Amino acid sequence: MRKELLAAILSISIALSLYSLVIIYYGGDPIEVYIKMVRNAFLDLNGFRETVKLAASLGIISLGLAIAFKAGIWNIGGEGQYIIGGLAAAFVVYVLSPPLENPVIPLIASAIAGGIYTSIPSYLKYRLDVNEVLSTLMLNYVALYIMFYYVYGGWRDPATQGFPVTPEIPYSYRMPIIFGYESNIILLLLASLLVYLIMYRTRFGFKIKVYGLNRDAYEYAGYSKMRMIFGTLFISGLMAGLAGGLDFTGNFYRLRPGFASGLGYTAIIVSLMSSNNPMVIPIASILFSGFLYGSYTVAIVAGVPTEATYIMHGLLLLMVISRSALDKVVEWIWRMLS
Amino acid sequence: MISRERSDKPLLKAENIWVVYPDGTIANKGVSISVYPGEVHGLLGENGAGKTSLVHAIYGVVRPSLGRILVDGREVRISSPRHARRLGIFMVPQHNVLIPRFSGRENILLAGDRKTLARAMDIISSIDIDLDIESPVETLERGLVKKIEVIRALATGARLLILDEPTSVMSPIEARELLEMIRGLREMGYSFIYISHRLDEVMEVCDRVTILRGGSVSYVGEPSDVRVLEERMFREVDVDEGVGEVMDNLNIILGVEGNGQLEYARDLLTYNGFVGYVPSYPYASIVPGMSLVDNVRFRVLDREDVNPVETAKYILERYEVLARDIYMDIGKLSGGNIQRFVVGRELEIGRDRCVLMFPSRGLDTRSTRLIWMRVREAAERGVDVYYFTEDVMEAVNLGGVVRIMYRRRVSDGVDSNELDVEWARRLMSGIGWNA
Repeated sequence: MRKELLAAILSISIALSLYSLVIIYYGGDPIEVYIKMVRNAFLDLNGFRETVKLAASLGIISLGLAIAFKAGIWNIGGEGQYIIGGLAAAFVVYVLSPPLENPVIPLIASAIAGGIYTSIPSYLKYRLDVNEVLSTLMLNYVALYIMFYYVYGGWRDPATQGFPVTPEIPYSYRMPIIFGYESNIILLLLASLLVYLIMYRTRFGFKIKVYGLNRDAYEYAGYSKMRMIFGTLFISGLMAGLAGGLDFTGNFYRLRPGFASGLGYTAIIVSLMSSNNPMVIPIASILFSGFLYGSYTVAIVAGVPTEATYIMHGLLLLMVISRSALDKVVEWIWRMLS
Repeated sequence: MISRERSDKPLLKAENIWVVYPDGTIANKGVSISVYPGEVHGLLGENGAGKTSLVHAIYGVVRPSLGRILVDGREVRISSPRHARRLGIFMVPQHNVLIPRFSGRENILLAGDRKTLARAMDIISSIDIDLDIESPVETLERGLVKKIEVIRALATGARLLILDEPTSVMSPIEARELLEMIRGLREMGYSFIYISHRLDEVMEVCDRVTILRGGSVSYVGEPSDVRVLEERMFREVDVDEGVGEVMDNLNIILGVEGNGQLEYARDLLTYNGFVGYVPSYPYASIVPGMSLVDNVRFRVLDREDVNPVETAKYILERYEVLARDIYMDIGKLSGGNIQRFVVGRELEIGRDRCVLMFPSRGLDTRSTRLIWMRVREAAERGVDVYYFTEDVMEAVNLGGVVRIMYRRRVSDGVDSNELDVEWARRLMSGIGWNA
């Protein structure tokens, strides 16, 4: 456990130091920038509110991905499932407009839609042995352009005079605000508990672990491959879809091209950094979203383009996937210390 | 050609080799071995005696913690298999290393160049064997593939060849042919380290043997008396050695793997009841990264009658699985222990039927006897046992109804105690079947 922590700290430090070079390149002072980042994201009241809001969606997607990753099924489609979730929630509000005006029905619809969206890669993988990395990744673009179709088309808000955004939803459909904070974060905690229970307290969770560690043994024991592929991807998509619905009803209150901000990809990093542990994911996602939010705000101050923060993501992902190499370094440090 | 006369100078001399792994396991405790030019040197020992570690040290796979290795009288620090090969030391592992789609010729060319191929042809012609190097190796019998592997290593520059269980998956006839080839190559001056469990083969082909027991050398000398070898090789056996009574529900299917056993086993597995199954590759039935308990649990998730904790403890004790406790990662166990664990698990949970594919393969005599005993106990409990084996002696000793399998055909059943060994061996090799 302490070794894992050391590895995590080491990976983040290396990424931060490398990113310092980028900041220096743009003429900023890395230490000052990092201090400001922390201040903006965690110590500023408004900033912390944004951080927590972002963490809710990010964390929920990560939790879903963690289930698939644990089974060794690489769902790279969190982004697409998230968008589909947002679309489903929007559909409920704009088209169905149910008499019960609250966020519950849109959220349920978004979760189900996100889940169903994964049946495409599931079917392709199960029947035709199509690699899920490719199919889920490609379906992200399909989802993105479906959203564009509605945002630029039928659902565009006539009042904005040509801006590609949908109308803001009425307050009755929005997530309640408690003590000045969006209640989104409560869903993250519930989801974390739920995923924990699925993973460690159910037969399905146990089977996920078996499947992830040795597929031969899973099939040898006579368990259904179909149920595993469809099941894990469905839960995964369900979570991502829910996060999309949540951002629609509790963050943006409308759809717009920027609704797809790459959260589904960032979630991959969060899951991997948390070793797919559902108890660690909420913490990691708060740190990570603070970091995201902080880097956006700081970018403007330090003169670093916001796009450059993607370099940061890239560096972090690089550190995560070089984990085994990093582990050797950690092992070495450990031996030097003891 | 090098003279057959044994020179005083060993080709390889390893002195006082200690191999200690990072986890603290001491695999070799001061082992010495010397191999002379033109010698076939047998390396014997039970599972876990340290054979693999020793040859890995010689082949540069692991660095010995202590000790020295001399090649041609000069001390060398062998840093990698590549380095070992430069010194003329090669290893042919147990499993096929050739590219299946390619022919023998192509595989030899891949390992070197035209000169390599020419040397290979020279070797083939000088020992006067018939070797098909034109067909893809995947279409060849395993005996032929092994021969090509040996020739390829020699043509690439091997002077000392380490053979790890070369005959383990061969029919007796194929094995005999391979031994004949090795004898021919010995006449040419090539040296071999021959790792095997099969004492009859060792006595037939080896000039000298080194026996390891518990990481140390327990015997060096000529293999003249099989009883001496056995005595030095095995620890005390306190298992009942007598041939048991023949049991009707203990089915022994005798045949070399790849003759349709898998399909036969699949049919046996579609059976309504609690079925245990040991696949021929036990690693396919365990989950490394999970504890021993969980490795029982995943097999019985839908069953109320098996308590994984109790069963795991029981298996550890009854099947002599050397594990720290039932909560350790199964992936950390050695191959033999994993195999005993799997056999134990399946025999304990297969309350109605148990299908065991080559459960004793690669195990030492003691472990094999232990498994026999437990199999017989299961049969006594009324479990229908299907025991697949490639070993005639096993079919004789286990005490059941023996059927011989060859190219998807299954012979009539014969009781173990009435089995004619010669007849069985012929059937296994495809001779004596009715058209």
